[in-house]
Amino acid sequence: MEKGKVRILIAKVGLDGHDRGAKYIAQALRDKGYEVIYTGIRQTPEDVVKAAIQEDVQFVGLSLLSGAHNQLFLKVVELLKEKGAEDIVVFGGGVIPADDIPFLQSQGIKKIFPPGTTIDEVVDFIEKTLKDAAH
Amino acid sequence: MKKTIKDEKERWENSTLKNFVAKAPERQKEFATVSQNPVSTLYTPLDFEEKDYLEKLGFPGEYPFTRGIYPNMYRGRLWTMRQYAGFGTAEQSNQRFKYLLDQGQTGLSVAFDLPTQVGYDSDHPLAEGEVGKVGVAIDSLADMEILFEGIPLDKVSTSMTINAPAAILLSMYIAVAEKQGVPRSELRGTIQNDILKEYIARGTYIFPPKPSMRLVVDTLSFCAREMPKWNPISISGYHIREAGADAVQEVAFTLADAIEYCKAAQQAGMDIDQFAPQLSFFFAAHNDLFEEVAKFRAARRLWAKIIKEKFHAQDPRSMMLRFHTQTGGSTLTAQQPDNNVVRVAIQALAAVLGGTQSLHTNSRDEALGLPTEKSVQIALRTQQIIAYESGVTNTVDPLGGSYYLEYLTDQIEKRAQEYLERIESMGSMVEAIELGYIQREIQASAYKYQKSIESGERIIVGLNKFKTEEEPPQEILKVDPRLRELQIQRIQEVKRKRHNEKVNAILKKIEDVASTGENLVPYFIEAVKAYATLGEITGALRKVFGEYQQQVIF
Amino acid sequence: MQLIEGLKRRDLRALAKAISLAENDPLMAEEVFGEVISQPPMSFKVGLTGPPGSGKSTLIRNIVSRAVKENMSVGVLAVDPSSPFSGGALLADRLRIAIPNLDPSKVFIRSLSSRGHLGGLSPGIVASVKLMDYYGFDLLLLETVGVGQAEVEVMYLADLVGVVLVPNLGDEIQAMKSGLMEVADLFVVNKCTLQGAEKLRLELESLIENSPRFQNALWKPPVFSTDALTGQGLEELWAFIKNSPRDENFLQLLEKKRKRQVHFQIYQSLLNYFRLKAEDAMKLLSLDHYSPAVVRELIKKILESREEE
Repeated sequence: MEKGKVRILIAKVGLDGHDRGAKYIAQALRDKGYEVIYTGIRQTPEDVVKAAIQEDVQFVGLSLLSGAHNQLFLKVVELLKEKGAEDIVVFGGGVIPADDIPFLQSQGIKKIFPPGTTIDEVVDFIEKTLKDAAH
Repeated sequence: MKKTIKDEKERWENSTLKNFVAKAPERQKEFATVSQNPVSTLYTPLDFEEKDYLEKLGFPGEYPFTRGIYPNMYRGRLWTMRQYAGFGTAEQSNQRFKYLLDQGQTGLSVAFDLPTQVGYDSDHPLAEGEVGKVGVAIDSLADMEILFEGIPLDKVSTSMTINAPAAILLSMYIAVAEKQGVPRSELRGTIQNDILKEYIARGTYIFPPKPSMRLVVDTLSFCAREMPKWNPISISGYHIREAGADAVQEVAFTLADAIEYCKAAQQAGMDIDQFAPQLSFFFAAHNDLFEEVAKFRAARRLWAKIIKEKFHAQDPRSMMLRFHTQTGGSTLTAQQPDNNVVRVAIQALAAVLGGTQSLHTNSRDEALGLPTEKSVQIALRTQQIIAYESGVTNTVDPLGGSYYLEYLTDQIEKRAQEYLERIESMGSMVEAIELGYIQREIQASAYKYQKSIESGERIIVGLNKFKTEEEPPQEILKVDPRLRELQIQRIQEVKRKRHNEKVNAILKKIEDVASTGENLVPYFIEAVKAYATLGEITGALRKVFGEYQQQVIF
Repeated sequence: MQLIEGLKRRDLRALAKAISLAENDPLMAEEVFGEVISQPPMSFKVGLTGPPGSGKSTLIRNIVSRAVKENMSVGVLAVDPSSPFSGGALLADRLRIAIPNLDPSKVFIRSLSSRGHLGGLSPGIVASVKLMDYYGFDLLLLETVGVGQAEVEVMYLADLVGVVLVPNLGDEIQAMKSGLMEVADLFVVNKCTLQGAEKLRLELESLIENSPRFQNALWKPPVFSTDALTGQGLEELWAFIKNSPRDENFLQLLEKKRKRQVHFQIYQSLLNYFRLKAEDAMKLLSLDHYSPAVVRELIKKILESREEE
């Protein structure tokens, strides 16, 4: 699929208001040619799933720095499944301890990006995922 | 003919320096500080002349306070070592407080969890996953009593990082102190209570700006009358800096917020000298050592001028910029976390050389999670080593007079002043925020900074250079997710034991008073004593004030 | 086709996917959704345009919440310009419009990028509006950024067009002269508590008085003063919007508009078709110099290829 037609939702779930990283990723993905919808802060998992479906995105990127990732990220995955939208690929970033990553990735989060991730790493992930899906 | 410095410098530049550089080009084409202040090869008396000393620097403890707000600074008393702490339940935090006090910390700094910061009880649906994670969960006075159990409030000063519901948490603190027999007039400490920066950089707002400002002014007024030793506000640049602003913006936007609070207090009928002495500030300390020291000095000088010339204060205490510093969390890396100990040491040194009144040093595991006991100990030791082993505390403003430092101080003051003028032309800080001007400036800095790291132009050791393959860190503090259930049970018990008619009555009163101009703080005190929960009190306010809707501007 | 079935069943995901199809492949969408797209309009379509920073999204949010309170279903299309450098887009209207915890079947919000098309009028947007129309929302809101002639075309899709301005943005009156006057059915002076609001209002009223379009017209655009943050003026604005479909004069105007919408859509479809064909045709010939003959040759090729299909 042409880059300009790949739609990505970047969302901050929960009460954490630190949005510097999410905003950066949103802008940087736009600069790489993607269509990005940014939800802002304080989104419930229900809001995120609603937005993902209405905006017909291929990817949802979740940002969270408050430690609530195990509960909230998985809630998003669960709700997407409930709505028949588990084809939407979910990735995440923020302050997520390394030993929580395998668990999250086994529960439906395709990739967790730790602090220090560059935008190119995120783009590589997106492109590879799209390529794999096309086959 | 006598040689002048100017001529000699020119000669040196055109011969000695030029020839040397021709043989070995410099590491960069241009040099600048992290905040885009240009940096030359050398600074000389041409950059700071002795004739300017009295006007620009003066003497510590006197206007314009550039060199420090007290005449002898750390020779008299060291800064307060105040490590931000709090997580999980009130019991756990109470334990951590006692540990830190035992280890030599001299003041308490309380971190609250996100539901508390946003005025929700732990049983609120939005509290799911968040209870006790980034700080202690406080749902009612009962939790607050446990938090300070065994800690004499007449002997410690306590800083509480709470903003939108600050007045309510202050009321709880007053109630706990009363039970200990300590009158409120003796209490020492701070509530952050800086709502403007929440809209700009931190996001834990509840109500729209106008009613929020009213709550701030109510606390300023209450504390001016009844709590002379308390700082009712800590006007913060830290979060603005962490959101991506540079040092100049950090100073400019913080002082712009401060100006806004002063104007609001004056409009409410207060005299500047009534409340200004109790204003305090909160800044970050980042890695560019000299720029940070210059920043603190520029902030002091600029603030003194503003309070004197713009607000016509008479009392010199109104002109003193008293501040707490925290080392910059965003500069720390998840990679090679031990490197962070070194970064924090440099940043703490900058804060001390800059004359801070109190200091929090981050722990090395900052980018990974909440600090372990071991990590927090190292952070505290960093301050203690600077205090007792480095010698920088033996004289005031030791770097003062460095030509480079004075140049940077002037630069930062000048550029910050330009921002202040631009903000004034927009009407007020609230308007500048509504127009999105502040946010856009911060974002532009943040974006540029991040890009410079990703391109490799800016080196972060261990992150984009000198990388190693590493094992994930072994010990990280995790918060028990069953905490929420525990808190919910607690809330239910509190609600069972209290007099519910009394609670309903005071909540209704708060709704009424919120619609008038009367000071709300005494009513908050009454409500918390009746064991109304935080969520119930903010709920009453939400009914009257409404809720703020986010404005994101790119 | 699956998606059409989904649309008929009022499946929101089907609507979302149909819009994507319309965006990504407008010609194919026209084939697939032919019956849908040629249906007469069902929803009342309100467009809001104006310069960036005028508070359109917040106004829309206020309108949405009032509509929902009155049990109406609302669809919102928010169009933002794509980046001329990367082709990507950062769509941030949704976050200002979305009301948390609202029943998803009551409010549907879709953010669209103009995908390089000036006038905000990508072929996808025209089709998307039709799809939303077919789905059958009581109220359809369309938001675009508009500062001049080009950006305003998309407003031809709406039944009632509001132009939102704020004081002190500088060239608002210039903008007026360059094209927004042509589409406006109402004006909103937002952030009306700021200095300069009264002045702006007076200037607008004077422009309307003197504008040739409104001399002896059925309809003269009213000017509303609002402050989306405090709620000032919003009840009046909403009442006006709600009651317009019942207003005699407006209905007459609407008839003319609808005719123009049909015209416009057919014209846009033609343009889309020929634009795509032109791009293909350009690949066929080697083009190293310009002459009218070359152009004629290309036109011939395009028409021939149509016959072959």
